[in-house]
Amino acid sequence: MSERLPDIVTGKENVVRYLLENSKFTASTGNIRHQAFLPRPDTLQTSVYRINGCTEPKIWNIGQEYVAGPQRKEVLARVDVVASAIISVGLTINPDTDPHPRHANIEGWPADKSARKLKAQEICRKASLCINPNP
Amino acid sequence: MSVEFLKGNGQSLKTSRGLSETDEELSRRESAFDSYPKSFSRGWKQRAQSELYDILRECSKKNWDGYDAEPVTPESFLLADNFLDCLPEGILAPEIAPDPDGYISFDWENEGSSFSVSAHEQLLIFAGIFGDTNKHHGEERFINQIPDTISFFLTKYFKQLL
Repeated sequence: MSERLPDIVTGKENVVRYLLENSKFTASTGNIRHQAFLPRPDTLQTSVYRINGCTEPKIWNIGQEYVAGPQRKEVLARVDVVASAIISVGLTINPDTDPHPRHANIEGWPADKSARKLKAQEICRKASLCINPNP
Repeated sequence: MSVEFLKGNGQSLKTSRGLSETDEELSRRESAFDSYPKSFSRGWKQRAQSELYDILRECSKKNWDGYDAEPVTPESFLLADNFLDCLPEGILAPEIAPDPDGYISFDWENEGSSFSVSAHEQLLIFAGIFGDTNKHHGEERFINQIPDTISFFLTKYFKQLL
């Protein structure tokens, strides 16, 4: 766990959002629902992981060990998105190394839910869905 | 006192709350849902209502998404079911999914346009992207009639082709 990442997430970095339940995507079409990026209602943060320099197995392992495992669930899929797609809609990605050095939060969500929905839709348009090959 | 609702798929849903007006209304709708003759198709609205029951059953506990989402409640189910009832005929079937705040969204996708409406208490919260650059979001008061703004987007961008 001695990974050293830049203190700031730049637009060129890639981040992933792990999905633990299937209402947030459609596997057959690759469609990602905007709910995949809507933030927690209490903190208005969306948890993501920074994946630059990670192998595919490592990306899936992080999700299973630090997101799904503690909840006794499986990672069903992940959404990959370049940070610039998030920053360009006026949000920020702030490193938060708990529970993992690669963890970060999308922050800056507006208080207005309709505005949050729109920003999440915009992010989804630039994101790609990856189904877990070994669920 | 607990209340048990038998679902169309044979599974049951129990709530630990008292028998409130919400429970009674939920029970009434459940009976109506089950009473539709199998040969009488209500099209996508019937499928959508079945999905609503699934969501209520599967997402009724906090953290259903693994990210501390609020539970979907019988109250939020009824709000969504009311909205479903009022949707116009002749539009594409929506995808239905719970939001992290426990309310339920109806989402449409069609030819580069996406639109989402969440049913809240006497309020519809919506956002949509129509084509590449045409973006709208906001909220509209809702009492048993789809507001003109939302009706416009649905019929203009998500009309069912015959």
